[in-house]
Amino acid sequence: MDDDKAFELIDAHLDRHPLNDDESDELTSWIKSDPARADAAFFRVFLHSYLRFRIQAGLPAPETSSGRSGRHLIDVSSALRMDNDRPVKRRRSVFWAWGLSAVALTMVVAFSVVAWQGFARQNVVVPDLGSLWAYEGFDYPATNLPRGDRGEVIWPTSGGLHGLEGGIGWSEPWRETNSKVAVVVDYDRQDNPWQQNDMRKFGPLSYTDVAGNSIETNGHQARTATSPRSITARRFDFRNFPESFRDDGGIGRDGSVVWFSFLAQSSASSAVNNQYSYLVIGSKDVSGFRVGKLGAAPTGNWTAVGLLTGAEVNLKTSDIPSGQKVFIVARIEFREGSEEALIWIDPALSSPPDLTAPDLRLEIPDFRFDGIAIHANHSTDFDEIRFGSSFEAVSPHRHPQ
Amino acid sequence: MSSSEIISDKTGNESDSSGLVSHLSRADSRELLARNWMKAQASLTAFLIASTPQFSDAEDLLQEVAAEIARRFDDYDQTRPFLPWALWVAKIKIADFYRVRERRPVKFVGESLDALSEACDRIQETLSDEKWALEKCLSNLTGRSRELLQLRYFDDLSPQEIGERLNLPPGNVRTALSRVRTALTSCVKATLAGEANQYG
Repeated sequence: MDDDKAFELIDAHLDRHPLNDDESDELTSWIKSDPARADAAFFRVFLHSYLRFRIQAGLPAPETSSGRSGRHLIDVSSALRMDNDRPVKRRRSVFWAWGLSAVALTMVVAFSVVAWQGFARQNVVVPDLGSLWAYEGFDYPATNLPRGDRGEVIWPTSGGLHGLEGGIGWSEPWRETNSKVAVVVDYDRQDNPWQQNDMRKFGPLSYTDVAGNSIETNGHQARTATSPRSITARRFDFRNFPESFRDDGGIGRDGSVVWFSFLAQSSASSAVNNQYSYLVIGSKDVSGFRVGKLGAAPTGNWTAVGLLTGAEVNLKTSDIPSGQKVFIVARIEFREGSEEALIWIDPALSSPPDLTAPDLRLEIPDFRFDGIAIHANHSTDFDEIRFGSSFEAVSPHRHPQ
Repeated sequence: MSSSEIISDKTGNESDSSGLVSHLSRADSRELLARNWMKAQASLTAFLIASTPQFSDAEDLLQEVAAEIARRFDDYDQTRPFLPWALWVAKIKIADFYRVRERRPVKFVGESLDALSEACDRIQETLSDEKWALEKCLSNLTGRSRELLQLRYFDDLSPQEIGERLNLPPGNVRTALSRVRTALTSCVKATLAGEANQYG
């Protein structure tokens, strides 16, 4: 059996097309005949596994035409068109004619163009999904929370998210930099008894819009520490971001637009005791941007604010309590001078939100960023953090059944 | 005795007990588990996918393997590689999976499961490079290739169902999906070779 046939059989099985005994025996012999073949077979299986995970997180957009020069684009339109739209006999004759002639290579190219045009006329619309540059779904084993003598949870001071390095588009593992650590929680295996007013008891983080579209979620979710605090940070792999979006200061060159999103829910809506739990990009000491629950917001509702030399500037607060689970989408336009941030909370997922009608709009001091950090002094859950080029890239969702 | 009950027995490797994780503090033990798990997870997932009928079965089993490994982690000898130990646990869970369901193991790679687990161990070290290259290659996907992968992996449709939706014969869909995967594999190799030439 040749390599192509072996890969076809592996694909067939993983595409839910059962192999018969002969095919399975042949494939087994092929794999066992040579370690290099076993490696190739395993990579093929891994490819399926990765594609499933990656596409559920949001597929990167095709490169722009300017970025395609000299690169091999991957498309199968010509093959499908040929098989689908021509009578069988003609298909065969064309196939053999092409197979027998070197000149046919030229024809293949020409035919591909015609075939693609044929496809474009079909009624299946493929939206431009945008590029997903970084993703963290907290798909890690749940952290085991130590217990005291009376069975009470002793919040860990090490471990937790520290050192975990899953997701896409990061250059390093998560780092815990404060006295306690954020942890990974499995909603189905709750170690922590709920407080009376903790709305998280009603289900794991998720979001479904009014039309029934649901944000795609993977794995578990992160939970920040209570008293005194956890600060959990991670840097991006710049290679995943377009070069045109970067300069010496980091990501956010003037002219670029960055979208990001996440799910969140705080343990309590109240604003007592300066409670905060937010996601920050940029720098507190120089300039940056915070979004989440902020101590400075008197209502305790979901809020966004700019940062400039240690101070919070242009704070904007929503009317949604932080004890309510939310899907937050932010769009930051990096401009000459100050940046503009638009925030939507629980937007409709079927189309990009109206740029003229965000839930929050604020100007942020000129800033760059190279990663994110989650700061909190009370328990809040975060999940499905996505950075990308468009609303679609950061809001992959399932349609209602 | 179920096969999962013998999991704490020897794996066949002789070793003294000084490397056992049980000697570590609880925090160090948990951190070691998290680090090892993250490194091995992609390989383990692929291995389970190769061993079970459906993605969903593999995902369920992965959770069971994770729980079992966490439960038995004190028995792990940290002086030895983690992945073979985790694969051993995974194989026991796979056996349980078929025993409990009273089903024959899926006709896929048959007796070559050990060869695949050795491959899994070999290529684990390079998977992060390959994932990086794959990211680059995914942005090369255009038109119908993107759509097919979206329908297969996001909407979780079989080639038969994709064919019905696109009015295409399922055989053609299967072939097209295979071509996309082969093209991605070639692209990954070319990308990694290009990197090696650039920096090597």
